[in-house]
Amino acid sequence: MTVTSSGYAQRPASPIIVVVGCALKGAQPHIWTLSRAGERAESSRLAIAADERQALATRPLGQDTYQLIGVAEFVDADTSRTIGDRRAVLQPSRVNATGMLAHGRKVGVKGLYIAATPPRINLTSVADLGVSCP
Amino acid sequence: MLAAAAAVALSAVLADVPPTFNGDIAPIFSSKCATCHRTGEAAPMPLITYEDVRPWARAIKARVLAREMPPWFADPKIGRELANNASLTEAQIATIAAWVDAGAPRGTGTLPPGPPRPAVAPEWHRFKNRPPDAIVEMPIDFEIPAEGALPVFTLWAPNPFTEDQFIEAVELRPGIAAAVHHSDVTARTLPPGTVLGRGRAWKGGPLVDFVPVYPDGRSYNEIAAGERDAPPTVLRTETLATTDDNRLLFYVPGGGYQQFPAGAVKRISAGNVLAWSLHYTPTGKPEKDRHRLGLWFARTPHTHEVITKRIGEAHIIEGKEFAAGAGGTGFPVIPPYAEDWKITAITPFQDDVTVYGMWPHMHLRGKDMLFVATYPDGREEVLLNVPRYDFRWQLQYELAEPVHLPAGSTIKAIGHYDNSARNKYNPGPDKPVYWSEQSWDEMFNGWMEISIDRHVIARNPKYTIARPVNDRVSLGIGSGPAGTVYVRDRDGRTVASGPIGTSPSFIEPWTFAAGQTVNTEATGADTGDVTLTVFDVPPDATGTIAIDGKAVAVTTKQPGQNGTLTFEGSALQRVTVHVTGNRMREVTVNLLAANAAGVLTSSSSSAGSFNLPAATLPASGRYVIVIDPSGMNVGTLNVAVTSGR
Repeated sequence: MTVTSSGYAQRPASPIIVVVGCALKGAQPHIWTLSRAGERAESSRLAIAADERQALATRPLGQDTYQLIGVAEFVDADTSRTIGDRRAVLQPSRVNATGMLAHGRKVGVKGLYIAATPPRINLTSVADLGVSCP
Repeated sequence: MLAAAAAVALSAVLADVPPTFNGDIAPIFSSKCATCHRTGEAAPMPLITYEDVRPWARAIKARVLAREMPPWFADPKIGRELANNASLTEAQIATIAAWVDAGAPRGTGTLPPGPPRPAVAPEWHRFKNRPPDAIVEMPIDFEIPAEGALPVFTLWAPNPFTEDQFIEAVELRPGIAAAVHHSDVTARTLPPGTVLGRGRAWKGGPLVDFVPVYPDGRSYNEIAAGERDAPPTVLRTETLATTDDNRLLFYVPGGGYQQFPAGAVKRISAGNVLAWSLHYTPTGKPEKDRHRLGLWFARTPHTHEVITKRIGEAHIIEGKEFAAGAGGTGFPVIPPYAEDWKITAITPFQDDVTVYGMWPHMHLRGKDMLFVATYPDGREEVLLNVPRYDFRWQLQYELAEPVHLPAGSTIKAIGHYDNSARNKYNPGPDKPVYWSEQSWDEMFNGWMEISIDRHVIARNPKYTIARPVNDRVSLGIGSGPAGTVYVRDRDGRTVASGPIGTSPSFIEPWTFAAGQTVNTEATGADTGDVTLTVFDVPPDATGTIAIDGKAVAVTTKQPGQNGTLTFEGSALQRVTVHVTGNRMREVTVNLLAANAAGVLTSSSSSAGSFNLPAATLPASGRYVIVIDPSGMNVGTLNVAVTSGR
């Protein structure tokens, strides 16, 4: 007897999480840091909705640190083109990046949690929470 | 010294010898053109013999120099190597150009004989030197009108197989290739609440057999996606299981055949029907088409099921994050004259997967699509770049070597649309573009074919249940070969069990504990599939109700969730419980004595309205009405309690 894959409730190896922290640009354009990160929680949705953003803005910072990867869709357009082969395949007018991931800003992020040292988040959503990190 | 001089002279002579058809051109055409350019295929003329080719020589040169033929749009410089690369090399293009410039000479000698045509099913591929094990036909001949634009539509046919079939190669052949823009076949379940019958092929379309029909006579095909019923939510949003999971093959001219690496298969589940999705382009005369599907069954050990998945659990549109609805509904319109309208779709992989192929699907404004993987270590890799997307050629790009993406990876499809007048295929640059399956609207589908590495096709597998949001979980059991499903605690103690048989069954909610597992055990020799769905069960819906007061609505949202209503009653008071507006289908309603000391009266019914037998309350106190939907039923009903009678 075999069992189909649909509808199963299995613990994913890499869950989707949401966390608040301070965005810091790294030495390499494709890896950023989320410093002073607060408590992380698992999330069933990949995007940060407007009401969720408001709630995240009230969350306190913390002491944790994460590496942020998969940033090319969330940095500014110029930085996005420096990542991977994007400069070769995307003209400046075709870059589709939100710019929400900005150095020194308090942000809420969602993405795949990757157990590593330090832990990493492969981003699926970034929301600027309206303030710079103190 | 003499030998060296002779060698130089010979080389010069060879370089001056023009290519000939028999010597140089025929092998190129045989390998890169003849798939389509032969009798009965989609191309307008055959290119097999010298007589076929000679009249077209100058046109052929122009088309190959412009890289318009053979149609192939993958970037040769960036991206993974592709197994079905149909493009010509620079050397092949130069050879064709030199041959035409030299007057397209036939050359001497005769063409080497091609491979012999097999006596059985000669038009089909020969996978592992054998014809298809089974050929399944579309259920009807579809009558294609001579003119006009036909929308994409689907015919649904019974599955001819009574057991699951695992497919290691598949081929889809239209009856009238010249009239088919593209088509595909998917093994899937009928839409809930429908049966196969006669109905509209599409809204305003002809009446045909083999479409899903609702009890009220409406055809599923003529109802917009947003008006259809949504299925109940399951415990974990399983992003890797969609209605397209069992797509068997996508046909385009020059395509329509696929084989999988050793161990990987497509599945046709016995419980599925075959959905034939069709996009016809009238040829100027009435035609009748009937597609056929060739299947090669797996004869070697197979471990992983290949599923088709659309990239796009998250979207970024024109520099802003966007939460799209199912099927892309809800995307903003593409404004008139937009030249580089941008959209990015992201799919995260929570488990290890293997990618076998990708392909873009857009419509007339589609401009380009890029497939990018981001690995858990942060590296980014372009897997496929299609810089000049062409709606006329819906090509599928098969990886020469499957790509492994570990858990924690994402894959992104980055695309652009040209709604300007510079797009020569644009039917209306002054118009906003909406989203639908019709070619005058748009779609954004970055398709990929993947398998989930830990979903191994195996007997009696065991799964660990993810932690739910609520304390309770329930389990839906689909039909399957005789067996039992067991829920066990971490220490092996059986918490619950339910039968697998010819009808679906259900395990009522139990209290979740970390480490609980679900596994299936067959009780006979039969093999096959069973689909298990674990539901996260919220607390029962509760409320109060007054005797002779207003009716109270009770709604349950997840299978296994009950409703309870309490009321205060007096000793010897005679009451009747009334149920109206029942949309739960079969449901049991019990009136319990105070402190749940027994059932005073009860009724089970699927009627829209019914009453429980009147009961006399034995004492003053609080009474409870329990609404218990049968099996996996959910929905709403209204309850009222009256006195007297």
